[in-house]
Amino acid sequence: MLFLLLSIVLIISAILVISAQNPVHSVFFLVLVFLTSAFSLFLLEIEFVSLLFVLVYVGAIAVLFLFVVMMLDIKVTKQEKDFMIYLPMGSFLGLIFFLEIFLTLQENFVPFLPLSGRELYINWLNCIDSLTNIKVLGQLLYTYYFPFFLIAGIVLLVAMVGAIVLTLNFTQKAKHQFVFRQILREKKNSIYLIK
Amino acid sequence: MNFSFLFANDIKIFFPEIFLSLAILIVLIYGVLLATSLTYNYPLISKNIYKLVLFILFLTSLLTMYNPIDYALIFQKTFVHDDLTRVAKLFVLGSSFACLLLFQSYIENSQINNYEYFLLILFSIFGLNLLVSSYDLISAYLAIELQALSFYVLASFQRQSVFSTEAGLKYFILGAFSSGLLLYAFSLIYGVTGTTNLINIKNFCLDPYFEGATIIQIALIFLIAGFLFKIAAFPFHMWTPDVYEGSPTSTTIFFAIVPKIAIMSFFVRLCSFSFSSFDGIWGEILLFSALGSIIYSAFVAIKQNSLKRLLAYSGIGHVGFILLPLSTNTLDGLQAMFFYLLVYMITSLPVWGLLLVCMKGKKNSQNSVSILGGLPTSSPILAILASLAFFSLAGIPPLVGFYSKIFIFFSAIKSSLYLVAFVVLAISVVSTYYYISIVKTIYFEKNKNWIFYEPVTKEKSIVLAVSLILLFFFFFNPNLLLLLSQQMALSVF
Repeated sequence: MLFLLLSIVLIISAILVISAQNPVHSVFFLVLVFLTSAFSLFLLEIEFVSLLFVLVYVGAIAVLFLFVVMMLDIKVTKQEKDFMIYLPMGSFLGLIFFLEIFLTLQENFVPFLPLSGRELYINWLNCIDSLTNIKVLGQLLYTYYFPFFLIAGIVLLVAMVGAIVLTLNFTQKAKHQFVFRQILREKKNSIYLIK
Repeated sequence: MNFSFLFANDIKIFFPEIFLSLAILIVLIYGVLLATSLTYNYPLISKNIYKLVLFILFLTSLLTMYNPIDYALIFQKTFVHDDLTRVAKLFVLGSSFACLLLFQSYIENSQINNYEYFLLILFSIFGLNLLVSSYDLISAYLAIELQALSFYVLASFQRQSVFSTEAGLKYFILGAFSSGLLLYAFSLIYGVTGTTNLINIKNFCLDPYFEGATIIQIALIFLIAGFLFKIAAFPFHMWTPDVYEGSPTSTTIFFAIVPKIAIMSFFVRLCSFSFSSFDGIWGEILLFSALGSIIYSAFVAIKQNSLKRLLAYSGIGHVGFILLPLSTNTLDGLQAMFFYLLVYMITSLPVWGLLLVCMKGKKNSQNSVSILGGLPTSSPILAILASLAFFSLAGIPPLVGFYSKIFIFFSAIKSSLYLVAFVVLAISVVSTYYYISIVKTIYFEKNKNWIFYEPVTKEKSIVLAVSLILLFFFFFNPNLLLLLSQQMALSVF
């Protein structure tokens, strides 16, 4: 019931993202889409992905969009009339792809049993999910697969170095903040004559 | 005291990478501390870092060469160490060493004073080394992202230049798109098989009860599209000429020479090892792409005036020649492919070094082919070197480029691709035409304008001379390259 409600909210806000007049509003609806999808993933006990959604998409990407939209200062635009011309081609391509996946879904995504045709004894007690998603991932990532963790850290370091290289200006024109000068500034030396 | 010996031997085998990553971090800290220090008055340390980077590369290649273990799967089967990784890593390290020697003076002249340039090159070499040795889809993706992120920054390094930023942005968008395709393919493969390990995927694909074949086929199409983006093959090559032309020439040289062997060696592992039973699908796609890139590059490169664009198109053609033997999925084909890759790396050094000689001045205005016209009068040795290098690219007998092409034809004929071999033979006449027309420009065209060349530094001359000697040496004695490529091909299976 809750899942249905969330998915209805999700779909409505996803439609509102593209149909909203004001770009800031559409970004807010995008945030709502991300939040509702995170909630519905939480209901499915996929905690890690849902928290990632909130952290990465809402926390970083949507805020970035919002910054861009606000800085570009786009006026509220009237809806274009030929909005529907992309519909036939897009829906056609989407339908083909959807059908291709859908038709193979039933036969391909079945659990692979090497002893097919024989009854398998499953001890259901071992299958009880006592650990949460995040704990399982952490237990694997920090022990057996620690190289991945380290390499991911280096990837992030590269991104940071790259961002600094591409944006940092060492020119004289750039405004610098001299902290010690600000702290040393007092009532006595802040008023002086300029000839 | 309880110690776990789980990864004890893995760390020993993985020592070159560990050394490289630690060295990068230490050099980064050194650069950050020294370049921002007020007491030393903000020194320019790019020359310093350049020498450190060369030293690090040398040490890493020594560690790689003298790795005592021949074959091992390490870190829970996510990385592999065998002959393919050893040779490919050595070639990545060696070629990037040569590239650094070639373009150091260019970096100094074009006033790229940030020491981070060399650090980013080192980061990308680290990523390429990881990619070569990765045996798992996740580690491969991380390695690809590592090298791609540093490449984006390297492409847009001259941020004052409009062309450089455009090249960086273009490369970034298309690279991110291709990474998305790759990730989608990986997720489909994981969804069907439940594993990301290459050998487990292979076992699944060979299993007669395996029911995910259709999804694997869809995933393969995405996978191949992503990798063809990365190596700039025919239907996904559009970014290459713009990125090569816009980014700083040193970056262009690095892009053109170094990453191909690393990406191809992982791609070969995926195709010929993991998805070997699906070679009907990926073989056809790769054959189409190979033929397309050979034909397209041959006909488009004729019309090019800019030397950089022409070399970019010729690079697309060479990628076609690399993909053609892979599509046969035979041992001979793989051997021919690796032979071609190694020879391509050796041959590209003098060709792109020649471009650096033409890059006089800060602006890249002297970029047309006609600038080569003054070469025989100003420096006859360089003119001879240039023409020999272009002859080798075209595949004319007394040079090793002849062997690399003929092995590809042999492998195509052995797997009875007669029509393909004939078409490629006919098209390579066209490509030979534009290579020889460059040689004609060098020797027989009089240029009325003043032409200035960059003086050749000592390191550059050593690299050029050694690569030229190798071009002759390997023609008369190709055994070393043949053995290396055979080792690489054998360790794929």
